[in-house]
Amino acid sequence: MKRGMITLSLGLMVISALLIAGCALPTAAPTPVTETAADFYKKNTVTVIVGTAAGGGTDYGTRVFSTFWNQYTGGTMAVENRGAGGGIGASNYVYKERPADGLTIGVHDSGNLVNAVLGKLAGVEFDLTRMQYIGRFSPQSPHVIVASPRSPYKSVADLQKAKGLKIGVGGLSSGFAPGLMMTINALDLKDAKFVVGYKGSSDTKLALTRGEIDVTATDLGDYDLDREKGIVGPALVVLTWERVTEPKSLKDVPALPEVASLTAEQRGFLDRQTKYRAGGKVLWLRPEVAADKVKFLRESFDKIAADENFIKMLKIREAYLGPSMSGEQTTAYIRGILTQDPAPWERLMALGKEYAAR
Amino acid sequence: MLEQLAQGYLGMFHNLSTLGFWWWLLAGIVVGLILGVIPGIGGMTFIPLFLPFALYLEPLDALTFIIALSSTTSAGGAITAVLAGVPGESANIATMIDGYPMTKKGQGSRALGAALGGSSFGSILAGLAAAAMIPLVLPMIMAVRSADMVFVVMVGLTFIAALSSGSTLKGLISAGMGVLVAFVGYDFGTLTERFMFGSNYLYDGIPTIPVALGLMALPPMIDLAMGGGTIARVREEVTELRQVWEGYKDVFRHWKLSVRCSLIGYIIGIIPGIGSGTAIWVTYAHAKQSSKTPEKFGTGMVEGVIAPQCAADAKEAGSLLTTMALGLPGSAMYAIILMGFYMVNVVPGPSMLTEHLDLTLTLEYVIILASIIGEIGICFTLAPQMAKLAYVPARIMVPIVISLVFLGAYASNSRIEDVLTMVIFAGLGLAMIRLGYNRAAFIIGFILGGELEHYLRLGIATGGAFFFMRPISIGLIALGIAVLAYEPIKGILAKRRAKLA
Repeated sequence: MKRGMITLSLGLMVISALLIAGCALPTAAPTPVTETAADFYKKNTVTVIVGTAAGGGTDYGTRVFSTFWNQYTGGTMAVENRGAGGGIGASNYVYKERPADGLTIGVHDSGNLVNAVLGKLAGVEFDLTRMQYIGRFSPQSPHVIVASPRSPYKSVADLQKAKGLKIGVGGLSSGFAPGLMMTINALDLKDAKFVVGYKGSSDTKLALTRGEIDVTATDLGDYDLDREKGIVGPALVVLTWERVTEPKSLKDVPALPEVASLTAEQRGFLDRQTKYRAGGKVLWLRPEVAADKVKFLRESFDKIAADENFIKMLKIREAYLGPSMSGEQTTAYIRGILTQDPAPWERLMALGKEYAAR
Repeated sequence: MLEQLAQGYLGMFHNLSTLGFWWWLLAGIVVGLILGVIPGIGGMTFIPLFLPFALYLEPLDALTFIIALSSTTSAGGAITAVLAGVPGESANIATMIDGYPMTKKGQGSRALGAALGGSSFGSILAGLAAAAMIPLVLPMIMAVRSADMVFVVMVGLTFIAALSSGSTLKGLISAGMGVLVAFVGYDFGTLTERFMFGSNYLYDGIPTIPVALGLMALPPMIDLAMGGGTIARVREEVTELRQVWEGYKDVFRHWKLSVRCSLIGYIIGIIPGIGSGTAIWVTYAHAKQSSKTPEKFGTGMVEGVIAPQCAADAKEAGSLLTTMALGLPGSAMYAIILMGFYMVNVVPGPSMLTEHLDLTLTLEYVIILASIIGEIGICFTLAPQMAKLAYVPARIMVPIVISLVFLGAYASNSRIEDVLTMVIFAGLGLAMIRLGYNRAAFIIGFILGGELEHYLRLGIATGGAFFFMRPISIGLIALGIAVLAYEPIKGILAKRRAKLA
C-alpha cells in the first residue's frame, strides 16, 4: 500500500513537472507558409514581459497598452511582471530564453537598460544594439530636484550652505541616481551624503516626506501631484539645459546650467542625462524575430500610440506626456546613445560610489 | 472635521445602497477565497489580470471587487494551511504551525472556525479602527523612520527565542541560516553580487513562496505518505458544525489576545515597508509568550491559530488607509491595487481623507463586509464540509496536495527554477525535522533578515552611529529586551516561589 502510494505520488509529481514544463514551452501554433503576420497575431497570444514589479509607471502604461491590443489587432495580449534585478532579469529572459516567434515582447525603461549596460552592471546578457524596437509610448520626463517639505531648503544656495545634507535614492543603478550624482558634482555639495538603498521611488518619496532625507529627485510629470499631496517640498533645480515651460509651477525653477558653472565634464554628464531621460518605456523583441512580424508590431504600436483614449489614460498617471516614438526612431535613438563615449557614465558611477561612501 | 466625517458617512451609505456594489462585493469575496486556497496564486497574481476589465466598470464597483478580493485571500489560504498543512498565502505560514496539528488531532473544524473567526475579527476591528482613526493616520506614518524600522524587525527576530521549543540554541541557528539565505542576490545599494554563482535566477534573491512551500508544506505531506492513514489521526465525536462554532467562540474566549493581535496587525499595516511576515510572527510569538501553556504551542493550540489570522487580516485595513491617504502603497499588494485606483481615474492622496472621504470609508467597510459575508457567512456554512478533507485517505490526499504544491511553486513566478528551489528546501525541511531544528525560526530569519539589513543600512546612513536615539527606537529596544528577558525572569521567579513554598 505504502509503495503504491509513493509510486502514485511520484507519478503525479512527474506529471506535474511535465505540465509545468509544458507551460514553459512556446505555445504558438506552427505558422503556415501563406499566413500573414496579421493572421498570426490574431490567433496567438502575445505576452509582454515588464521588467518591473506590478504597480509602477511602466507596468501601468503596459497594461493600458494591452487593453487596446485587441481593438487594433483582433488578438490577445497578456502582461507578466518580472521585476528581478531592476529589469535585467526580465530583459535577459526575453532576449535569451524566450523563442524568437514574435510572441514575447519586452518592456522596460530604456534609461535603466542603458544605465545597466553603460554602468557595466553584473549579469547583463542582452545587447541593446541588436534588440528590435517596436516603439516607445511614454518618454521619461526630465528630473526635478526637490526638497523635503520638512526641510528649510528653498533654493540651490540653501543646499550649498547646508551641513549634513542627505540626498536619497533607491540604488546606484536606479533611474534617478545619475541625475542626483550629477547635481552633487555640479553644485559642489561637499558635505552631502548620498543615501542609497530605498526600495524604489515610492519608498524614497516617503522618506522625503518624513524628513528622513532632505533632497531627492522626482519626475517633472509627477511634481504637481506630489506637491499637492504634500509628499515633496519646493523644486530647487530642473535637470535640463533650459528652463521648462510646462508645468507652469516650474517655470520659475532654474535649470542646472543657470545655477552652476559647468565644466566640460559636467556638461557631458548633463548631455547624457537629458538624452537618457528622453528614452522612456520601450517595447522590444529579440534580434531573431522575423521582419514581417516586427513590421506588423510596429504598425500596430503606432496606431495604438496615436489613439486619443490611450493617451488620455496614460495622462491620468503621467501629467507630462511627450510624444511616442516609432520603432525606427527608437532604434536610432538607442543606438545613438550607445555609440557615445561611455567614459562620462563610468566616471559618474564612480562618483556615485564615492558619495555613497561618505 | 465632524461635518466632513458626517458627509463622508452619508456618501458611504449611499454607495452601499447600490446593487452594483453588492454584486461586486460578493464576486470579490468568492474569487478571493478561491485564490487564497490555491497555493502560489493570490491577489498579486490575479488583480493585474483583472485591471483591464476595470476600465469598463464604475470606479466604485472595480475598487470594491479588488479590495474585497485582497481582504479575503488570507482567509482562503488559512483553509489549506489548517486542513492540509499547505499555506495558501505566505501570511498563513504561522497559522499552519498550530492549525495543522489541530487537524491531525481531529480538531480540524475547530481550527477552521478559529482561523476564519480570527480573520473576520481582525478585519472588522481594524476596519472600524481605521474609520475612527483617520485623523491620526498621517501623523503615525510620518513619525516612524527607517531607524525605527530596524528595531521593529529586531523585535520580530527576538521572538524567535519565544518560538523555540526545546533548544534555544538550535532555534537561533535556524534563524541565522534563514538570515544568511536572505542575503543571496544582487545588492543594488552597493552593486555587488552575493552568492549568486553567476546565476540570473538569483538576481532578486531566493523567492519566498517556493521556500515556504518546500520547507513547511512538503515535509508533512511526505510524512503522511510514509505513515499512511489520514491527516486526522483521531475522529472527534462532536459534529464538524459544532466544532466550527467552538472555533469561532474561541476567538471571543481569548478576546484580549484577539484584540491585541488585531491592533498590532493594524498598526503594522499602517506603516509602509513592514510586511505581513512581521505581523504574523510577532503576534504568534506574543500569543505563545502570553499563554499559560507556552510549551504546548506547535502541538495544536487554538491561540496559535487565532493570533496570526487576526493580524494578517487586520493588516489589510491599515495598508488600505495608508495607500489612500498618501497615494503611496502600504505593501506590495497595495502597489498593484494602487494601479487599479489610477486605472479607474481615482488618484489617492490626502484628499481621500477630506473631499473623497466617502470613498475611503466605503472601501474600509468593504473589508468589514467581506469578513462578515465571506469569512463568517460563506465559510461558516461550508467549513464543516471542508473539514472532512482531513479524513480523506492519504493515498488520495497526498498526490493531489503535492501536485498543487508543485504547481503553486511554479505559478508564483512562472519559473521552473522555483520548483527546483522548492524541492531543495523540502529536503532541508526534512533534515531540520530529523535533527530537531525549528523551521519556523528559519522562515522568520529568512523573511526578516533582508529587511533588517535594508533598514540598518538606511538607519545608519540617515541617523549616524547613534541612529537609535529616538523615542520610538528606544521604546522598541526596551520591548525587545523585555521579550528576551521574559523567559529567564519567569524561570527565576518560578524557582523562588518553589523555594518559598
